[in-house]
Amino acid sequence: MARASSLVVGVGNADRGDDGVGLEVVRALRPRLDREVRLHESRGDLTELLDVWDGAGLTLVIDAVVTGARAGTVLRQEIGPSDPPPTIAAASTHAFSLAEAIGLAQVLDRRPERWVLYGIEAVDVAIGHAMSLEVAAAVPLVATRALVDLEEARRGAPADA
Amino acid sequence: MTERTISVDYLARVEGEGSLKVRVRDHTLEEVQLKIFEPPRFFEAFLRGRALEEAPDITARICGICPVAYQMSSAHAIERALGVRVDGLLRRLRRLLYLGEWIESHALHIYLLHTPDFLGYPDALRLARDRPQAVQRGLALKRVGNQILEVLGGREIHPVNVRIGGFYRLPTVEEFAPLGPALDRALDLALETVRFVGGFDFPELTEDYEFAALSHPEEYPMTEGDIVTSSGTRLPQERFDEAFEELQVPYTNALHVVRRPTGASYLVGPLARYALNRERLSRRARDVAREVGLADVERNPFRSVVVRAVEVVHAVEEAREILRTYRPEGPAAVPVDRSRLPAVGAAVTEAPRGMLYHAYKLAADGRIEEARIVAPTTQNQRRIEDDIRHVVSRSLDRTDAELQALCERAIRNHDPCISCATHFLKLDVERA
Repeated sequence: MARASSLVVGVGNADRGDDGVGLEVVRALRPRLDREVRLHESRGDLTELLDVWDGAGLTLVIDAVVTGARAGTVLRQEIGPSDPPPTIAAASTHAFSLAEAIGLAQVLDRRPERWVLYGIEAVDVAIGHAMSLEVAAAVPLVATRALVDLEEARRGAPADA
Repeated sequence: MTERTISVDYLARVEGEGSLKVRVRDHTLEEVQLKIFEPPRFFEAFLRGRALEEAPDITARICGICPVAYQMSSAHAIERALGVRVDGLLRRLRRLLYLGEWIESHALHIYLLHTPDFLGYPDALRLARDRPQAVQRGLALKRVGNQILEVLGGREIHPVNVRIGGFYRLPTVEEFAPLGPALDRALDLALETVRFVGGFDFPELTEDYEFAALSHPEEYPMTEGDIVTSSGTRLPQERFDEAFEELQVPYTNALHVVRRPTGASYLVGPLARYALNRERLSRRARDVAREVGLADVERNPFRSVVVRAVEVVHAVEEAREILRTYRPEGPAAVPVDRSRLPAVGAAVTEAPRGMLYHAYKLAADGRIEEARIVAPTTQNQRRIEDDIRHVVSRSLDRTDAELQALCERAIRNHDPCISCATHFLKLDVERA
């Protein structure tokens, strides 16, 4: 049976400083990925993700978070089909949070095979502000780590094993 | 003397964040303050010096939930300044795009943000565990609205196909084809939605609102019509400032908007549109409204969820009708004559949450010299405080937790989009 295609979702608002970091990671990945991996930029309405990731394979979700950690800190969490709601995404900067979107997807069975969430600690999400240097510095790090996840999923190891 | 303070540091299930502070002294409500923290007016400043053609795309980025409203008010205001008239097919397609936004925005609010309040759930997730079919129905309805935005707007969030004078391109009949059956199914879902929410238990409350909305002689208001109020005011859109006044309030970064000359609050949004335009709803929307017992003028804010559902029925029906006769004939946009520059223009359109006013001063070279945007949530902010004042005054014997829940419900009745007015809400109830 054909493997479900992997998906990378960047969540954020490019006009709100560090909140745009998820979108920036997707843009950094775009020229480095072939068509087998879908890319999606989500700008605020996270309920759309139930349609976007329904039936996908590995799904990476990259979002800005506010947990009190040092700016630019990268948090990574894997979520299986029946795992409890993710702790990282609960700190999402969005009103209908990523944690709620993932929880809803689990309850309604509109989910990918598994999620890997990347939360990047934001320090400034004010409208019109530029992304902080600390958060901008995390973009290539998360993009590189995402490529490792995607390659492992393509080879079926180790997390898919 | 006893003093109570109830604080909500983060108000759930509203778009954006802010805070609410309520102070009670000796069993008397002293103060209600809805606070919004973010520096306002960034986008107005950002628009200065930009080409007039950029306004629809820039303003669409203000809100992830109602980008079409921002595009429409900005496009209409600039077209008025230039003397451009968008008619016929292009006018109908703009309504179609707006109808898509109404469907998706209302479906999101009804099912994921508002229904949990009526069925006793803390959030949509717990609701979905017990009532998955209801949430699936809401998501399916919302999806149809998103599909319209995808096909006609170019993408769901922050659509990019609207330009001054019309659109960049018209979709083909084939691109619209899947929407026909989707809207047929959506009509059933919309009618089920009215009956579903019409069966909720509603707290008794009658508010003496002054309603304000657009009103058009031939259609349920969206992109055209005069500004009318329930007290009898009628004005062309560009004279918005004669009826309403923006005030700076010390405790919030957002401005309050009040009626001139009284300084009183007023209400925009579904309750106001319905009260002032009910007879222009589709027959089926009016019939189902009557079936679930909606009054001709509804003054209980808790029943706004039913009005939203009735508006979805109308929106689905009108979208079906527009698509039924759709043929992509003629240009995607009318010619834009810039000979009137320099010029000023203003317009109001009906965002899902109510009247959205844009005004622009354009320089001779087509650059934006000044931009002013008055969002519906900004207009409703003082009225929401009045609702909270009445709800809390009648419920002072309740615990802080119960009061907090009531305040949050009173706010959610009006579906505030605080990310438009600004961002973030937190509640602080102080009892002394």
